[in-house]
Amino acid sequence: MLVFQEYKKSYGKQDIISIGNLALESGIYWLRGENGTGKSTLMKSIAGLIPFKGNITVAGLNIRKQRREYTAVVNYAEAEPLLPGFLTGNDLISFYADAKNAPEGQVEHLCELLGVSNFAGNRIATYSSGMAKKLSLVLGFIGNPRLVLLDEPLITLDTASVEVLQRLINEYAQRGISFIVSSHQDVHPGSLVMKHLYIRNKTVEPE
Amino acid sequence: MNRILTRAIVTQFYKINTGFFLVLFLILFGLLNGKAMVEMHMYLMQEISADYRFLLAAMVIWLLYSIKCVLYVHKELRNPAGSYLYVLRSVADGRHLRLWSLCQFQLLLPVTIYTCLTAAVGYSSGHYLYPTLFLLYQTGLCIGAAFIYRDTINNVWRQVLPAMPGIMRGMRKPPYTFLLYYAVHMRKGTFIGLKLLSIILLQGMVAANQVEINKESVAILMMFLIAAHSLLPLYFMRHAETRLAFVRNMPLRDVSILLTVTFTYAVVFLPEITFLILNGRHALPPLVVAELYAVAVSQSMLYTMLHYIPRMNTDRYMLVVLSLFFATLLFLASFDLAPLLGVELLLSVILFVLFYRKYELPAASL
Repeated sequence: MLVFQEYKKSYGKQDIISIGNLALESGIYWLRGENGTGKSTLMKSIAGLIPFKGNITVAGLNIRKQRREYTAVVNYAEAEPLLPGFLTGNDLISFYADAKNAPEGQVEHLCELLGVSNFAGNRIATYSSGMAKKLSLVLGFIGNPRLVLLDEPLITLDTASVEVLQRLINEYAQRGISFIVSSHQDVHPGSLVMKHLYIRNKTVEPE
Repeated sequence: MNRILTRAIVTQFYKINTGFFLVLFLILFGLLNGKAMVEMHMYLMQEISADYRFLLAAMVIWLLYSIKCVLYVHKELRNPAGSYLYVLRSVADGRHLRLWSLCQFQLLLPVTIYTCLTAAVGYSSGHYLYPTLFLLYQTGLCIGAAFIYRDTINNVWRQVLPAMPGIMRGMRKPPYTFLLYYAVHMRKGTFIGLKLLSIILLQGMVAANQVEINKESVAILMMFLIAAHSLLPLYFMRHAETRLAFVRNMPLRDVSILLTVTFTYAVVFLPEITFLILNGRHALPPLVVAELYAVAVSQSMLYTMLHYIPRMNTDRYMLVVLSLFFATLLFLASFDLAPLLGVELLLSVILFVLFYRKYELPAASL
């Protein structure tokens, strides 16, 4: 499902993370590592947000050669969403739904589940960090992803939303959608088996 | 405490507005040769000291600059990162006001120097009323701002300054207008200021060439206005790479991103072009106006793409903007804008293709 080929990310002369050749099967992965080990950097690389050396393939789609098709199937919800405050949640949701080709009714379902409908018409600048996080999670599930990257999805969420999110991950995973979740808290996606990925010594080691 | 305010407010203000001051300096002191420049400013200072219309015009410009400073400080005080400044609430009222007056004095320093020189010129030529009024006005601006800052801090729960109305709020926002919304919502001070500057300068040009509008002076003025707008590409690019960074995770064609940037600048320069069409139609052929419009858009696109070049920083960017400005003047000498347009568009596309996908905002900019 996810293949790394000679992946390397560095800032100046400082190497952050390198992955030689690694292929991961479909599933839910819990990406673990201490603070500053490069979890978010790795996720941003997979999402195509930052440049890196080497190559990444998701579901046979190459990030460099098939960028559009690739980004259509890789979704990302960042740890601390930085979103344009002058837009409303609805503006962003409709942009994502359009760009990611969301199926009919999906957006409404997601907004309802995570309680975003109540405030999606307001400008993002008025949101609390929890509200922005919920919006970011809705955006992370929009479309027909094959891989969803959730960077610290549980922080700032209320207890009810944490349960909803775990149900949502379960529901998507049963449809064959893979997840990489980085979290310092425990994630329990129902009965599904969670595999572990560790970032140690500047590389990724599967369980 | 004064040192903290100077470092946190004054130094940052001048750093952030380096481009603004460079362009202003160029307009005020770079257009004419040394002797003509001194004569022009002497003339202005004498007129401000003797003619109430000049005095009023200067007061309006000073007020606009003062509003720019007040908005900046107000924004800093409302910024969560500036919350430490609220410790000033525990300072005695008189000292609090003195601190902010000194801070505002430093922010107004460029206009204060001009005011003092004007007063000196006025007094030496036997005019006392207007120069004194001008000095008092300047002092009033300084103290008035100090009261606003003091009240902002002391009444944190109240909205002291009325919020400027959000333009186009409530309308549906298609993605290709996101940068425009950003300009009119988050950078409305800069945006409206730029448009005001454009209209004032264009109106001044029309007034100075009442008999016939000189094509070359229009073109040179447009180049100045494009250079003055060079702040927008910087803001747009930073915004695109922070709050709109998610666009990189969207299955969009690269050409859509380029077209969005083009559309943004096409709208940004509409007021200037409308003005030229309405006021210069007798002297400027439609083709020339269209070419100037296209150059404004293509040059702004080029300014935007420059930011994606590795290790490009504000200083280097301003250097390139100034170099491009002078290079453009060479093209204007022959008044053949088509090659310039072609070169700029081609360069923009090349820079985009080469660097856009490889770009990553430095961590310090986040």
